[in-house]
Amino acid sequence: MEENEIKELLQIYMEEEMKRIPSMDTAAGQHEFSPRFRRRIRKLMWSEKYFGRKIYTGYLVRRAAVVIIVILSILTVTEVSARIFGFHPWKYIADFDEEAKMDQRDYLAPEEKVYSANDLRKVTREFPGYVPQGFVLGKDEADNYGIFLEWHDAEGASISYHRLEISSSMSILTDGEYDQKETISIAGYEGDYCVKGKQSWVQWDDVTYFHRMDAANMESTAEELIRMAESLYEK
Amino acid sequence: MVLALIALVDLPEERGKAEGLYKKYNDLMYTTAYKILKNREDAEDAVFHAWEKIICHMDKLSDIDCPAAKSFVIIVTERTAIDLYRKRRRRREVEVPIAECESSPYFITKDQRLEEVEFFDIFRSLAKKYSEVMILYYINQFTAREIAELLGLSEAAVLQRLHRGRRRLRREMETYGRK
Repeated sequence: MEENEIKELLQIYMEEEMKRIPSMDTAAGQHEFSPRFRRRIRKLMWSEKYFGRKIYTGYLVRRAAVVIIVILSILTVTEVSARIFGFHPWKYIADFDEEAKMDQRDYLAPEEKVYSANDLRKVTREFPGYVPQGFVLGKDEADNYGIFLEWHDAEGASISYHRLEISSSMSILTDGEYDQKETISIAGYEGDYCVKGKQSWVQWDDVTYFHRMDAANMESTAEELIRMAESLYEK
Repeated sequence: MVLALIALVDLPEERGKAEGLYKKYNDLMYTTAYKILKNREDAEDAVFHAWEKIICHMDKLSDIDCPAAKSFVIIVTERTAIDLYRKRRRRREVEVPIAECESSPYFITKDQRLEEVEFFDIFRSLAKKYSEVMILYYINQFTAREIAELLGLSEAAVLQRLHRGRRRLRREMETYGRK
């Protein structure tokens, strides 16, 4: 039996049999296809319409388009939010991450450190000898490691002073994000004066302590803070 | 990149065929799949996957109304349903005799006119696993590799089934000729 003969007979038989099977099955006509099936078929037909037999290329393009649309939507929403509401979500997220930046100060114990002549001045007062006019002491806390003092004025401005005793291998993390930073001198010790929005602070180390003075909602703080800091060394 | 993408896309005349096929055969495909899977969701899944396969090989279909197109659609759906059944057998409550289904004749319709043609009985007695491969090979003009891809078989298995199907057919035909 030749190949052609097989093909011919198979063709005749198959055609006859196929005529017996209705294309539109009446039993299936009663079946309501699920929304999931219809959704998938719609996607498939879309792919076939534009990509022919390469439906998987169609799927890929469709997915890529969805990703691009999502990214563009996020960018648009971000821009609209920034222009209309003044809130830029992306910048906020980036800033939030940047705010995590900290300055780390590592210390040797006082007995391990070699001092210069300038290092000889020591804090003589627990409280600053000078406090700007109108400020009243609100908090006065102390423990074995240091002290914390806070003053307020009637207009809502505040000043705080934080002092920590330096010990061996001590590390102190301070805010590493600021608008302005200057190097200053407090009683011969080198320190920093930093400004961040409505906050400003001075911080320095001497022989024994790490000091930090913060001012909030004050104007011309540098001079006042330095003067307060210097007053700690007055006899 | 765009040129590469354009090169991947079929010509306009080759596109859009699926919708006509869908309208004509989707219900038939569902019934075919349901008969095997006995579950609506699974039958829909099988129909969907069968559509994916059909569309990928649609270049072989010149006319969607011809019997060859219909047999192609039925064969692919049935095979997809059987494969799906095997994959999901573990969570199946009703045991469907798939082995029996596979070894049964491909065409099960009964028609007095066809009964009278004796050699049709020979084809009818041929197991489905042989006849589906033979139809795709001889009628739909698929290569062994394409049939393997379509039915989820190895190329060697397709060639083996073709060989065995031909042998059985020849043997039966010889017997029929002697009568």
